[in-house]
Amino acid sequence: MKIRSQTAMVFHLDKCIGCHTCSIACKNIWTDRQGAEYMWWNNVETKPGTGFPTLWEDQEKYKGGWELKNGKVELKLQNRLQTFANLFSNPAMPTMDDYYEPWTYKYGDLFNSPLGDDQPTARPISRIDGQPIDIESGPNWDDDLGGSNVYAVNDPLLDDMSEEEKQRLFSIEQLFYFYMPRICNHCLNAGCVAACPSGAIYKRAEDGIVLINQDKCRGWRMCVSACPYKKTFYNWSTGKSEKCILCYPRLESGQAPACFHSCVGRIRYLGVLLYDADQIEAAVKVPDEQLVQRQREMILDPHDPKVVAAAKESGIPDGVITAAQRSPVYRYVKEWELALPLHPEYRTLPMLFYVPPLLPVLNATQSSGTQLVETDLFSSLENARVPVRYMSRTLAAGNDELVIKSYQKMIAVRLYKRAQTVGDVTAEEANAALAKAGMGAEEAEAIYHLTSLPSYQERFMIPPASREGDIEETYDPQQRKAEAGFGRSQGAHRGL
Amino acid sequence: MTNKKGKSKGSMTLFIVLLFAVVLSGCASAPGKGAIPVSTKAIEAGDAENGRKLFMGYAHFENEGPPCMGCHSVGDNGLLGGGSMGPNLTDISERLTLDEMAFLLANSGSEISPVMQPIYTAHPLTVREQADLIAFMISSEGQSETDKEMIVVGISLAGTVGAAIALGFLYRGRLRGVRRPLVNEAQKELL
Repeated sequence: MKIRSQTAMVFHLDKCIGCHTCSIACKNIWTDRQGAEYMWWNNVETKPGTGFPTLWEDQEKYKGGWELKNGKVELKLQNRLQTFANLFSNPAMPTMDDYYEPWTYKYGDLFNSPLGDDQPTARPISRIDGQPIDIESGPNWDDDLGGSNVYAVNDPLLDDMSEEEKQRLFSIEQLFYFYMPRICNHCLNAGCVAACPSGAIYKRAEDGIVLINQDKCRGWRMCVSACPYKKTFYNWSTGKSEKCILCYPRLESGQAPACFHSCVGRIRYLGVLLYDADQIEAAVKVPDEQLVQRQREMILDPHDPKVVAAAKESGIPDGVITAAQRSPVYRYVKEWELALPLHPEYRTLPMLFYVPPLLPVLNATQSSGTQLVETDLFSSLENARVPVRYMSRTLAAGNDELVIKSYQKMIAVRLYKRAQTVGDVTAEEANAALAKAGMGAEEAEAIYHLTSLPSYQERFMIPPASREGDIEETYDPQQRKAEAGFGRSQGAHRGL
Repeated sequence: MTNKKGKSKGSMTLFIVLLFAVVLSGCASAPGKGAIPVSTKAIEAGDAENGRKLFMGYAHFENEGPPCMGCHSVGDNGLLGGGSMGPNLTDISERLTLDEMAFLLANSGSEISPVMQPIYTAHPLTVREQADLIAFMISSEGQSETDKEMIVVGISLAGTVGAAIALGFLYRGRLRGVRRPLVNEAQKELL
């Protein structure tokens, strides 16, 4: 058993209000430099929708992630020979239009225009070449457009639906949509790491954060294609690729990453998971429907004395083990089995898990206008607006059971608390729901507490870490930020 | 101290000058400088067929000089003709006397080509090779001077176009955006 620690995440989609505060926090800190204007290391998508960049889930177009071929797991993008052949012309790149052309406005014209009959206007200009542009799209262009005939109907996850089913899904009063905040998943079997011809991408040993070494990156952009989540971006100014760094400078000083910290809905949880690295290969070779279960099996119980002993043997510091024992992520992913990985079928073993959104809470309207709770909750889930099929294709590689199980628990917790506080549900009904979900009242209380009332410390169990040493402090960070990426001419010295 | 240093410097210069003198005199006496031109009489014994092989590079010169075809063309020899840096030699025997041709090939005498001299100084042609080459050039007299430069240009152009088409087909899916087609499709449906 080779135990490693991973700083993992849970996003509770049922709480996300789609306000984009996370995206802005990230943009202000990391990607407001030249060449990085179009990058959104954190973005929030409306689902169903085509996302950012457009159709990122269509791996026939972008060739991201891994494929199981004759019992072997291979990059979908290319093998070694093809990497060499395509080195100067990576065929599976998103275009600038698929992201969007970043723009700003000529605000100066508002103040400097000569006196005239008309009000001066601030025309939009491209932030790439400075020329006036017609704005055609943006990173969240289909925000809240759950029924849009351009973006929503072309969601790749709806491709197995007939036209009639789609029309029913998008008809008024049946329409559903939810928000999907996305950052780098810091995968255990990252496609970007495997595809890099320069060996510039690495996974930090102590916390599993995936980083691109700006000194080694040669800008071949294979990672851009090979990441199925399209979360590595090419900086056209520095000629190197960049990605979410999980705000490691903040983590190292005990703060939550900026997008986590700023989250208005408090949907984000961060904590350590201990996993068995020897099982990675076996875990990505199982058929699609077993992927999530296999990934959960890799994650080890930090309370098990055997696991603790093995972790110590593998060199994991005591402080990290303690953090793992108190990790909210462990509870959501393994203990309660509420949270699911995004697109496990890409076989990258993503370490960001999503609690599926429960839509709608109530789905029957009385003639008086008040809403009624369905008593047979499970049938209401089957009749619910959000099709389980859609969620299972998003979060469970098509395995409906896992999503249903997660939903059953969430509904049971709601009923249980409603019976306690509102009283429109009887205790028997609540207990029946709990029994159906296979959980006790104690677990329901715990889920309720961590979902609704968690403190900052409960949401973010940040493991102790040593800071990067030997960083050249000759530059003012603000100045460095304006000039280039995160490169430095002196290697960082590390050690716990 | 200064005096001693100056003295040692002086002797060093002397040594270098002597070294150069030795090297230069060695060069001057080396057989490479100006081969013996072939006599007019010996040219008659030249083998035109061997001359053709030498000219086109099928056979090697004894002293490893480069074949003439690198810079010259003769008649319609060669699929793409010869080089075009030097003059076309098809009718050279009409323009030059046998002696002049021999002088040029041997790099000595009244006719010396400033281009060929540095190339063949270290790799002189033997008397026999000169005779064969001159015999070959006499035999080629009157052949048509076909200019094959256009063939080379044509092949290059066709190759470039062919490569562009092949690569274009191979990478036809590259940098094709997906968003704009979605929008166009949706707009078509509305109309």
